[in-house]
Amino acid sequence: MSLFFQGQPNRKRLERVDDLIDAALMARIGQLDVVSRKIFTGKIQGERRSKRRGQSVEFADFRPYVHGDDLRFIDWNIFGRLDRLFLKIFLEEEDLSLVIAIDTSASMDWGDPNKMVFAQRLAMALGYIGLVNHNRVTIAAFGGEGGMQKISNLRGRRKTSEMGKWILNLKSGGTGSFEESMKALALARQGRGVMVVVSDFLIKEGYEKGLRYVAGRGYDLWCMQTLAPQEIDPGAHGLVGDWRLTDAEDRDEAEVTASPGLVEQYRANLGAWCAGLRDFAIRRSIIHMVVDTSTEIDALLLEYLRQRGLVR
Amino acid sequence: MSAMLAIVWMTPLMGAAVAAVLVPLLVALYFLKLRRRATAVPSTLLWKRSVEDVRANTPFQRLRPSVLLFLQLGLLAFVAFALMQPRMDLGLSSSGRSVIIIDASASMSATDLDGQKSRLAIAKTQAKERIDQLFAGGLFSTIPGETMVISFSDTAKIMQPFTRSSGDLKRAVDRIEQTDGGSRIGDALSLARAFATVVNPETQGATPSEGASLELWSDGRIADLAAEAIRPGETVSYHVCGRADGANVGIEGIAAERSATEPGVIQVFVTVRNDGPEAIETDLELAIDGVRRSVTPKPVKVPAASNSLAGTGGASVSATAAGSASAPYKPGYERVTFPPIIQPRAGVISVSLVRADSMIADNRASIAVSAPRRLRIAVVGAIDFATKNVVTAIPAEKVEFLSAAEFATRGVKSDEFDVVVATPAALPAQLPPGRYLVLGVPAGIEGLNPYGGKEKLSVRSQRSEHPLLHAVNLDDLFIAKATAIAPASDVESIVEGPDVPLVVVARRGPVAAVITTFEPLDSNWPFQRGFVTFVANAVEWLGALDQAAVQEEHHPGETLSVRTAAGVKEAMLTLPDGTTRPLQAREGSVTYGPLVRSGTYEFRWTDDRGEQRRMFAVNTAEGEGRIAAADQLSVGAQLVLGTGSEGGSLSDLWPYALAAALVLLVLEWWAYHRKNWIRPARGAKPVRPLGAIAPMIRS
Repeated sequence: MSLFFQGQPNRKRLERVDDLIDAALMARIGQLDVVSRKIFTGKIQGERRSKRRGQSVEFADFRPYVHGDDLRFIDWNIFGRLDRLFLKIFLEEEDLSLVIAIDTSASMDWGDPNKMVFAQRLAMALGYIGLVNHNRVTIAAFGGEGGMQKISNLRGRRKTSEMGKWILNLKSGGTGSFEESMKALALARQGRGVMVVVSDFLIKEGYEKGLRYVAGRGYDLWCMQTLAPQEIDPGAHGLVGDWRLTDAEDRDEAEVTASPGLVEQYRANLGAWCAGLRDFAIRRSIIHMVVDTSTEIDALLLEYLRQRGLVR
Repeated sequence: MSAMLAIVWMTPLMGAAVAAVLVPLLVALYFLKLRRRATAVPSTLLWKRSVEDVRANTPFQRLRPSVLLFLQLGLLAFVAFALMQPRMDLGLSSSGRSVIIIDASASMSATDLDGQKSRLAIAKTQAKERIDQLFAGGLFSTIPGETMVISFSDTAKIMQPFTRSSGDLKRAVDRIEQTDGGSRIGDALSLARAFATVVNPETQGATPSEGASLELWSDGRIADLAAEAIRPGETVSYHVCGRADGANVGIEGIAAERSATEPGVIQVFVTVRNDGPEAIETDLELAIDGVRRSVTPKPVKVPAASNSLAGTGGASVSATAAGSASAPYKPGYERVTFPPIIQPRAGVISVSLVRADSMIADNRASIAVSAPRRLRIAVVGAIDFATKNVVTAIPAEKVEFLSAAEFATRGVKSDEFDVVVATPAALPAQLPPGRYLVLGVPAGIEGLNPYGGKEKLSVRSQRSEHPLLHAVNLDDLFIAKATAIAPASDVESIVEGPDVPLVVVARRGPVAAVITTFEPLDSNWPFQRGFVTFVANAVEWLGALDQAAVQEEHHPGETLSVRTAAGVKEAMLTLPDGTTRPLQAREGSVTYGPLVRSGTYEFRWTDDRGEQRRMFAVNTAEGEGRIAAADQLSVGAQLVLGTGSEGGSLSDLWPYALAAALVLLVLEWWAYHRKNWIRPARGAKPVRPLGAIAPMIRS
């Protein structure tokens, strides 16, 4: 019998960090790095080559001296030969802040493969890439019963286990406000970086206000809209006949007769909902992706996210 | 009014009640919400939006066009249709008075419909089915009207007066017997109208009851139909019995004649009639008392009937309905003369066709002949010499000359003389039974009405075709004086003078007389050859009236009469089917009739001369040989279209309705489950290549 008739999602339990990310995946994605399209200033000198000229040792270019420039960067050898003042410009290397926000609302604990599990594994993989590249990694969970939780400023490969355990312990459920959570993340921003929001974005009060808080505040924002195959095409997964559908978050009910016409209408509405989110994202330089939870994580990272430029 | 195809509802209210209850219930069920299975989804946001897009979320959903609903409504309609017990009716249904009229004439014995059952048997079956329709029982059936049953052939017979008992009606239909008579519907219509007429006690006026419908089962070959008319308020349904292309060959007539010189030799004459569209050849077989005596040496060719498909029923020779210019119907005839047969005794001569067809009643014709016996003649009174010479010259068993007194005593024994030749003065005032040639106007016969005398008369007209005037030339006859009479209408005048009859034939019960209104010696007739011929003809014709050497042919509908000795009280009659019945003899004669079936009838009685035996042969009525059923009736100036009546055509429709309901049930089941078959549910985790989901990953 199909999933829809079971009423409850078939969630595969995650018990160990290895369930989140195994050694083979770590080996395949260990060469990757998180890329930001934006110039930002790190608080400490990191491994990252910033687009901002700064005080690193890597020469970038010369430019004529203007009043007020730091005299320590004047190239005196050129002044000796040309009798003109030129300033040496160096590439500044900065650290990158990677924030991964996971939606742990009740609606995420649904589907086969489970959306929550998929989000946890995606966060773990992206976080591992960040840790390996000495980025400041922050994992946040929003939408749950206890409000927003987060583990901040993890750095270095050694934090992998700590981060994995934290992700493992995330519990789904609750109806936390998306807007409040995004607002809190925006206010707690430390420096600039990349922010990945993993959610199904099926938010009745709307996602626009929440995303406005985090967009344009120094984050290179990615919206990973995670949907289960049963959501994408319910007719093909057994939703036939007369049903009383209960909302996993607010227990709201909808009585439907899943005729082919209604299923097609649902698919059209879902497409429109996703298209609305995409249009909203484009207008705010947010990158939006719809991800089917049946997608393998390594394929997602190594092929699609690499093509889209989140990792390289 | 023409019959038309109709559907009769046996229990209309039953089906209507079921439909009235179930159809609204079904529609209400579609209004009501369904019991639904519950499941959790991440969000009802999009679902509600989708539902709102499709339908309004009200307590009762809007009735939307649904294949299932239409199928279920159709199913219910068929079930209700079946519950009404519809039947295909070939007649008009009537809740008023109905008269079932069934033709039982000879042509209804044809078995052209199915080869086994006769038309009458099928007509009776259909009539009983019709009675079932009229009196169909059921919880909500309507009250039937009164119905009566009449059968007719030459005459009509009420089998059952108006009643509401379907059992009585069906038993009456079963009692209808096949006859070999002709078809005359006039009496039947008169009876039906007489019974269907309701007399208003206030106005003393008789008006036909409203809604009385006549339902006729016949082959349409009805002789007197053109003389009838459909009255206002009457409806006539004509149920055609028989095939329109029914062909038949039969023996139209049979005659036998003993030789004048050798009384023991008989010659038989037969007329064969063909009513089919093709000429046929057939052998004829002659039998006497059941013993085959002769067969035609070669097959007899009988020509085809001309215009055999002239279809309108009515007169025996009818034109087409529209009065088209096509030639009238004319059957093919062939006359056959058998070689002389030695038969010195009495017997029944039968001629049969050695050929089978769908109507066997007319394939055999019989005629009874008595033993050859010469006439016994009495000459009473002072008869003139010329007549006396002629009478004595006739070859007879005996010729006695009696005075008036002698005749008055001996003539009472009516069977002593075959013919009495007398002068009017010698006859008593009360003539004893017998056959008389009277040369003058007697006083003992009523209806002659003499009123004076006439002189110097000549013949103005004569009925040359009459047997008495066969080979008699009266052109040179002059009469000096004659008695003027004003004969009654039943007195047949065969020779007319300028204003008075000259020779008449009168029949008064057992008395038959040929009367001349003049004495022969008052004319020049005795000196002419015609006189000799006339007297011989008269004696022979009178002697042959009921006891001649050769018998007449009889047909159903007629009455048989036998003269017996005066003291006979009872005679026994053996019918064609072998049964016997006693008959009372009155005034020296025994009568039986009207005849119903063809065949041999034998009378036996005992008098002082010992046991006497007299046989009659009765043949199928003329005109019944044409068995091609008329597809429409021409009643007076109106046409009545016939409804087909191939055997068992009154059929139930409800099994078909039920079958259609079952088909709809299967379709409904299929349509309901079709939703599940649109996209078969795959496994919980479909294995998809990455390329298949690529369209879902987009920015």
